[in-house]
Amino acid sequence: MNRTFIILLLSFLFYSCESDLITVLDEYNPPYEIVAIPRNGGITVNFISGILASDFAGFNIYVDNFTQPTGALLGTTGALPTVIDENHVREPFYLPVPGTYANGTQYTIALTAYGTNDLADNGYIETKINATYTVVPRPEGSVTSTSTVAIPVAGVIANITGSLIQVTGTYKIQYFGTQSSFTNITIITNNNYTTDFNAHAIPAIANGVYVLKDSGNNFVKIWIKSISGGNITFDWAHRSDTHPSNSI
Amino acid sequence: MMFTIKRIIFIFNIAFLFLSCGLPDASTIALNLNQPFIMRAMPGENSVTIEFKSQNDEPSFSGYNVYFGTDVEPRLYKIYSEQQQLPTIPANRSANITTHRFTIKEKLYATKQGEEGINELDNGDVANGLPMYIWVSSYQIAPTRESSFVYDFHVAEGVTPRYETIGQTIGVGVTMKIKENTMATLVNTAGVLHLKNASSTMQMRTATSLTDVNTAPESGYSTDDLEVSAGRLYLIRKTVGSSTLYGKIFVRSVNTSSSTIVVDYCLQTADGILSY
Repeated sequence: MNRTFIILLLSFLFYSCESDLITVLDEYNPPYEIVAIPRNGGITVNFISGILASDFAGFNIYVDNFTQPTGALLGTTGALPTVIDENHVREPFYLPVPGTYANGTQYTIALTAYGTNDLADNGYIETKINATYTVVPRPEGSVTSTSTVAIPVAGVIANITGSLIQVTGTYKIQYFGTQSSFTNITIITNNNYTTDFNAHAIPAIANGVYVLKDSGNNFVKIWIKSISGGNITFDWAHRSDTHPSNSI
Repeated sequence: MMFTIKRIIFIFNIAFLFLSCGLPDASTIALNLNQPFIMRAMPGENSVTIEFKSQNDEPSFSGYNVYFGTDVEPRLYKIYSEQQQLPTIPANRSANITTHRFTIKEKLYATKQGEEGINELDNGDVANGLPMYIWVSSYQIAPTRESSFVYDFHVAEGVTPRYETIGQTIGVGVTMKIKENTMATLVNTAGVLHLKNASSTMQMRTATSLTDVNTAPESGYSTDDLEVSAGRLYLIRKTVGSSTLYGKIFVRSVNTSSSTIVVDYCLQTADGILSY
């Protein structure tokens, strides 16, 4: 009788406690609009996050290894999360991915929200990796010239004629409007050389970002800082690899 | 003795229940429902379509509520489902991020703050030129709980319905206009079709539809004629008196033998409003 009573009590304890412990965990709202931004020998990740849970500890960044959470890059203290942060209302983040990354090499990254909680099965809470993002770091620089748009290695890619920019050789061009930052335009969604780029001259606009492609592997982004008469100053970034990533 | 042991077990058990199993169950704990993220808000004619993502695996999650109103009170209107119930959009819980699309337009059921009952929205509630401020919440029916209010960047400036013309075939010499405001004229220059500005300035993007760009850029325009290709979006800015109006023209297809193009175009007729 007593033994039955105890067993019943114990089983009740286990049954009810276990289900309670699972449901009490507050899952983090996952990061949205993740963009892997290529830099010269590096990668920056941009995303939007809003997490109110007090046990949130920071963000984990994964590069080419998506085993959660052991595949994540360790933070400066040698432990997870990769980047320490606190609970916050919804806001954009720009985090440099720790480490150096070779120009011309394609990397795949992912980012999660992470925290520790003794009530969780493994002692931590982490959002699922819902998607991964490819990125190819590439060289970049700044040029001032007259009438021509020429960059190192690739040479002349376009000419300035009056108020227009006219591509040369097999290059074609796409306009992305005036921008406040070179990295505002990073992922080229409409990236088909044949149908999405223009061979004809288009207006050359100060602060305008343009992306050029040739029939080979050259993939160039320029940002016109100033243009006056034929004199032009611009920032450039250049890829010449064969990787499928549409980042520049 | 037996009685004492039993009592100890009993007391111990009660205490233990309160200590560890006293954790509230799923229906009583204050879980923060994950707040959806509005990725895009696309104005239409007397309508706005929003696309949002969310990840809601909360045990009692029931779906999403859609609100809209003014910048002062974005929750002026609360939209109900076709069955006149909440949530606006019923949905199942999921461990994955899910994407949803919803169009706010006339004839939807809604309540309005300060008015009684559930009524149908009319055209005036989603008027062209009137900025709408939109909020989507995640929601559970029992016990009633909703995610915390937060504005998303894509709707913080307001989303404004505008006039549009869809699928029109245009020949050379035709000027596209909305409400008597000229936008651009199709011309043939040395055998190549161009859009010529019609007291307007223009810029061009590669695009897949009229809604690829929903917020007008304030700069980057020129007075140059722009060559016409299929799959291009031409952004227009024009000055009418002291007003600045923004519009866009999407070229669906180009027929070179007949020198005609098929276009969708729209114009925001409210002065200075960038949403279109």
